[in-house]
Amino acid sequence: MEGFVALWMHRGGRVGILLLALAILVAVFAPLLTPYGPHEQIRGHELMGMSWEHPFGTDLLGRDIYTRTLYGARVSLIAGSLSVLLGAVLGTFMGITAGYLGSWIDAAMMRLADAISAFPAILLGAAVVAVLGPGFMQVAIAIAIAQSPQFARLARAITLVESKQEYVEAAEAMGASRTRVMVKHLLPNAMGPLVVQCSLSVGIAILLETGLSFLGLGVQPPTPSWGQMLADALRFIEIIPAYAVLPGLALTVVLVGVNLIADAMRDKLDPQHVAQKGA
Amino acid sequence: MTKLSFRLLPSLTAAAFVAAAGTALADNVLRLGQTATLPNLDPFVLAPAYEPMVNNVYDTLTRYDGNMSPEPRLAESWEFSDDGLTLTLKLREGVAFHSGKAFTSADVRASFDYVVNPDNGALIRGFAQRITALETPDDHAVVMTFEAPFPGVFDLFELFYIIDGESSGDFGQTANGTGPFTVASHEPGTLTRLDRNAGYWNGAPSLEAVEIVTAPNQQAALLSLRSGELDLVTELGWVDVLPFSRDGDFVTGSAPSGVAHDLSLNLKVPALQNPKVREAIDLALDRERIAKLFFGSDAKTWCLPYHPNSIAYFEEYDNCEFDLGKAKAALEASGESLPIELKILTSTEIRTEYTTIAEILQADLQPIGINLTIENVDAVGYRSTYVDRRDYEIASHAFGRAGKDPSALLETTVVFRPDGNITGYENPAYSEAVKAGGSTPVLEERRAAYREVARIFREDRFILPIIPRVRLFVSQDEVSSVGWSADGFAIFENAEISE
Amino acid sequence: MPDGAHAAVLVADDLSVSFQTSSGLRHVVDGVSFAIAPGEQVAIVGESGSGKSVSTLATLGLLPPSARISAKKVELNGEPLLRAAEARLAELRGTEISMVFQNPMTSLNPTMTIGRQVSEAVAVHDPSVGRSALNTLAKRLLEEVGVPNPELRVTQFPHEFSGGMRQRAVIAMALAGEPGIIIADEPTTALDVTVQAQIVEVIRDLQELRNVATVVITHDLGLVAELAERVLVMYAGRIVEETPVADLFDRPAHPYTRALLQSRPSTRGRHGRLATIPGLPPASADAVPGCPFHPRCEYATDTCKTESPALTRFEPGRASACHRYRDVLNLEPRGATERPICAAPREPGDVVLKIDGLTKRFGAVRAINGIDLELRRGETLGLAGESGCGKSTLARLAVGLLRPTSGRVEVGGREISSLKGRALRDARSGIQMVFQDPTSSLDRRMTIRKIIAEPMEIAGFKAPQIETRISELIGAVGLAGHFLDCRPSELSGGQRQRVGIARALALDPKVLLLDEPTSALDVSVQAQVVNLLEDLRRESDAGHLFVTHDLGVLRHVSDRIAVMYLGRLVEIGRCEEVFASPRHPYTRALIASNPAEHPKYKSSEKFVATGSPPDPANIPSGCGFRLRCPLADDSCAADIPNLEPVSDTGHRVACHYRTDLNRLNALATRSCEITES
Repeated sequence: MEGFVALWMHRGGRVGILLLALAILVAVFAPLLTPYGPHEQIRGHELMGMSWEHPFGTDLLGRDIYTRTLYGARVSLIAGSLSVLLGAVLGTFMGITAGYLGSWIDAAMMRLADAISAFPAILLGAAVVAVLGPGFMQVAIAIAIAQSPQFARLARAITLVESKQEYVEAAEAMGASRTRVMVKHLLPNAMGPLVVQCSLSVGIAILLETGLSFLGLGVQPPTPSWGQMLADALRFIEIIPAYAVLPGLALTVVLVGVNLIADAMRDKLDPQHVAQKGA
Repeated sequence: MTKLSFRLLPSLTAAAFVAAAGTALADNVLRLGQTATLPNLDPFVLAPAYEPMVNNVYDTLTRYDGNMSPEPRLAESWEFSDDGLTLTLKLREGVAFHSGKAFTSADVRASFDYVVNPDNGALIRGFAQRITALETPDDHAVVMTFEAPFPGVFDLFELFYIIDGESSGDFGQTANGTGPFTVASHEPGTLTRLDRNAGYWNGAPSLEAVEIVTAPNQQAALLSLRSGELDLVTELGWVDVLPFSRDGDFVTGSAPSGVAHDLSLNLKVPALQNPKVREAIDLALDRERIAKLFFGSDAKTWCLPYHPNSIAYFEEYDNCEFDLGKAKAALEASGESLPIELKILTSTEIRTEYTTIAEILQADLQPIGINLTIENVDAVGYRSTYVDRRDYEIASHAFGRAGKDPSALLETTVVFRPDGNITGYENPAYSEAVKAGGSTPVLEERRAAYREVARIFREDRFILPIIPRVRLFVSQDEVSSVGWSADGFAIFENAEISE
Repeated sequence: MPDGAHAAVLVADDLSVSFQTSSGLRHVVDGVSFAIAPGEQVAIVGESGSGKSVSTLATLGLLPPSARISAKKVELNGEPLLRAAEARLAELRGTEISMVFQNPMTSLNPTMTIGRQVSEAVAVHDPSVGRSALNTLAKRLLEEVGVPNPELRVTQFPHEFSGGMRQRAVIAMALAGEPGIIIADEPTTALDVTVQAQIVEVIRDLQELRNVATVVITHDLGLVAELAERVLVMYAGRIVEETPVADLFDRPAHPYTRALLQSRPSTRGRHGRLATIPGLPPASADAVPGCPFHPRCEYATDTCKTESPALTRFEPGRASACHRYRDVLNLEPRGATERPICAAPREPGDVVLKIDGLTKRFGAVRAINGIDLELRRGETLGLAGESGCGKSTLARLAVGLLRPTSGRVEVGGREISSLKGRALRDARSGIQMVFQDPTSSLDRRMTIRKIIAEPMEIAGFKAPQIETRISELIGAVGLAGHFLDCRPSELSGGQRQRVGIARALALDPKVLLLDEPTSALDVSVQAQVVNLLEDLRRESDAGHLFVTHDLGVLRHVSDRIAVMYLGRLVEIGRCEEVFASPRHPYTRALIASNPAEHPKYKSSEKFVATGSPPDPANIPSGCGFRLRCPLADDSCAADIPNLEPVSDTGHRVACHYRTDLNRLNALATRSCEITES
């Protein structure tokens, strides 16, 4: 709560919170904001341009683009946060283990992270989807893997600093096992910067999900996702140029929101800032 | 790919279109854009990427004309024995391969041997095995023997490309055919250039060259067409063509494609064993809407897997309707507990239309009590699920070679063949009728047998044909006289680019 | 108004400073007035947070922009500073007034040669001075502050200088512009004891030889005794006492000053229990109504709670901000807490920690070079030495945090140096450690309850058992129960260190290792912790190994003392015996280097070891101390002296001259002369 207030006091953070809150509200209350269902195909309304009934037109199957954009927020937001969460867990595990245990484990973990980050994220995602098949969870896993190196590097850097602190020595001296030191001491102390990294990564994850869906590797039809809609929009751009407007705008709003929050968090939760406050 | 399996049916003419003369293009080279990558120059793979190449680099013995009657090509004339078990062909003289080597009966023999050799993976292999013996009495005569009368033999010839008997069989970079164009260069994924064969037996083509260009995606291809970098793009949807049809600088047209969409119902699935459930799905399948969405207002729908001018077509069985009320009633009469959970297999990567059909069906089935889950997989996954493991429930699918003689389609494709087809459907009456229709040259006997087949199709509904695909294409208006084979493969022999 | 203001170099009148923080305005300096006369030697003394640094930095315009400064007058040589332009201030700094900061590591630019930095003040203010003139100046200044071989040194970079040499260079820099006043902010705090003594000499020379006023800002009353004529004592942003230095020690006029004096452990004798000041200084100068010290003052009356006492001049040169200064002046000089110098040594118990032939190398660094040590039940062994001598490494080897290169560590008869994994973890419960930095040794994310519970959780105690023990422990270290649900950041340094001690005691260890447990604490808080440890030792029969560089604390807490130098023990023996007759030149240097406790002991005759400890990666042959030892000769370079007994009480010394009392006595350690025992 204290953190939220701090973000709210930050000018960019406040705008970010408002934008993201808008997206979340839209995702949650989508059914109340539109007379149509997200999968509702209206015969005879296929590929309509802007109209009173369909302010942003309809797609090939006569589904309301405005409605599908509203529901698409669910996919984007959940895929974004879920995959970042997974990636953070995976990367943090790698980073803390590598940083604390050192030696060959460090080398192995970090080479693995290098290897993962050597691939463009979208390619990596495509490869993971090729192995696991397309689908929502698979995409989340793919994005998680693609994002894990960032978390691994960050967690390792923090661990290297923190493990020099006397409290880690103190825990070792009282007989704490390595697992205990990592879980009870290093992890909680790495949390602040990792949360900031999470907020930075959410935007990237949403973009990746969109990218994978754009390539047809993401969320399965008929579930609407902004990426899929943009891919469709490209097909129909000559007939209904308005198709891309709303999903594109929605994506922009969420990305700007998430990035503003991330910037604000970095300003507020910056490890140095926290250290000053704690001292 | 199953949908590319060989089958025979009556045919349509290659649709040529003549356009008003426009301004001259920079050169006399026709550039065709396609999204599929042409990996090699093998004429027997017959995946979509090969379609613009095969009939231009290679020749066949015969080719259907506009009335679906075989025209002489490398075979000048032919004759069946009275029992219909032997076919004697006289080969054209004075034909030479691109290498300069003269074409003889030995090349027909070698091409046959190549096709039936399982190592070469020719798509028409099973079909060609209907020929039990092939003899070459002299350099320009070939005698083929069949076990039973083989009315679909010209369907086979349509895809039986003659290759150089002395070639290595390596089609990676080289192709030695007798066709109107020779391969000048081949860079997979980029460009394949075919140069005019000046010594072509049927007269040298007007075009100096044909370039098959690989485009990253359909939209890029269409943009290149607009900008004039490409002259021809095929395999388009109705909505893709729409903006071009209003534009005088371009010509749009359609050709048969030999491919039709279907729903395959796997009878291993308990719910689908119930005929009432299958009936309900058929009744909930909005063929009209699908046809309109894909190919516009004059698109056709199919209840039977043939064109109306096929000998196997019977109007009384072309009787499907879209009626969700009846579908619901059928489902309620099925005795199954509702809602029924079913999965539909599709692959956007193969064709976006597979998934669109699945989405339309899903939306229509949901209110009547079938919850359809869409499983969208990549091309490789689709093939292994559908053909190899047969581990699907309903599949959104398309079969090829539709529109020619019914015997090949019904007897040899994994979708329709009576023994061990993809749906698991087995019925002695169906086997008998299919066999009867394909083993006599007598038209009345065949009609009678195929009437029974049509009746069974509509009664048991294990395969639900939806719509024939139409090959929609757009070209610059200077391009004219592009031909299309019965399978919808482009033929550039007579194509012209006006000055 | 302080007298002599008209002739003063630096004057501040009613100076107040506050900082804008997230929790509101924090008053740090509250109406401070002072005047520094030319050539005067002033010390400003106070604990951390008392505003002693801020008040001087404020006069120089060196505070961050978040500071709000107000004053009736701030003048340097009659020129008002408060609203002076930044350019003018920059001009004055270095020419009229200079600063020497605490940490010589960070106050030098690592990318510039020492020569250029030393002469920079001149170069900046007078660009016409040529390179060679600047170079000559730098060399002269370095020579003046005792940097040997200035010819070479001016061309070197800061990383090629040792800590003491760097601080000399910083002082040389401060002198370059020939300012009328030098402000030295904790100039020796970051330095080792023997090096500290060298810097004290440098500053004293400068006071004597140059006509420059010096303001030494410090928390260390010893430094005050060494370097000041006049002292300003600050508390909670105010000057509470102003006095000539001698009166400060003999007749303090403020209860705070008095308490501060009594809470210092002494190297001159053991005074039993240290006096402590209860409670903590207020966070902001205006947080306490009335006298800011009254909640901690044993003489406070009701008036003190409501009326803030003004700084009242009661005799020439003396002022006190206390309503009861007269009563305070009449108190006995030392409190009644004074006890016999040494408590009777206790009966030695069995050996709980046995270190045998221990060595430890980190690559080329030879941190521990063969140490044998025994610690008995109920005994406190003080381990003294400067930074880099290996005393912390020794502690970590003993706890099993490091593995020895060779040798053995036995805890309660069980060897732990060869154990691994679970067995090592189990064995560690017998030996626990209290760390130097109470901030970094407590996990800042955990509550105090969790921190104290952790060793018991690891040892597999049941939850109710842990709860009971936690309440015992928190009481034992003198903390109230409500602290259990706080986090370390909500506690003061001393309270945090108590938590660290509670945690170490949780498993009732046989051996308690204390690694500089008081060096990060203020004097008054240090006294509390020292007393606590003393109480705990009396109550338990664990053996304490107390590692510190502070001989005062060491003398106060130890039964026996071991002195370490470059990874070896050079002297070990009963506490009083070692202090009474130190037999190793290094021990003598350490004792002599400790700042005087009273100006009357101030002496320029005492022994100050030259140089600083060599790099443990590059240890000289023979005796490690010989390069700094005035007694060293060829035999010292040839072989390493062993620890040999000099008495039958276990006093052992590793020096060839351990029995040559004449020569040893030449190395004066203040009033201490060895007599034949």
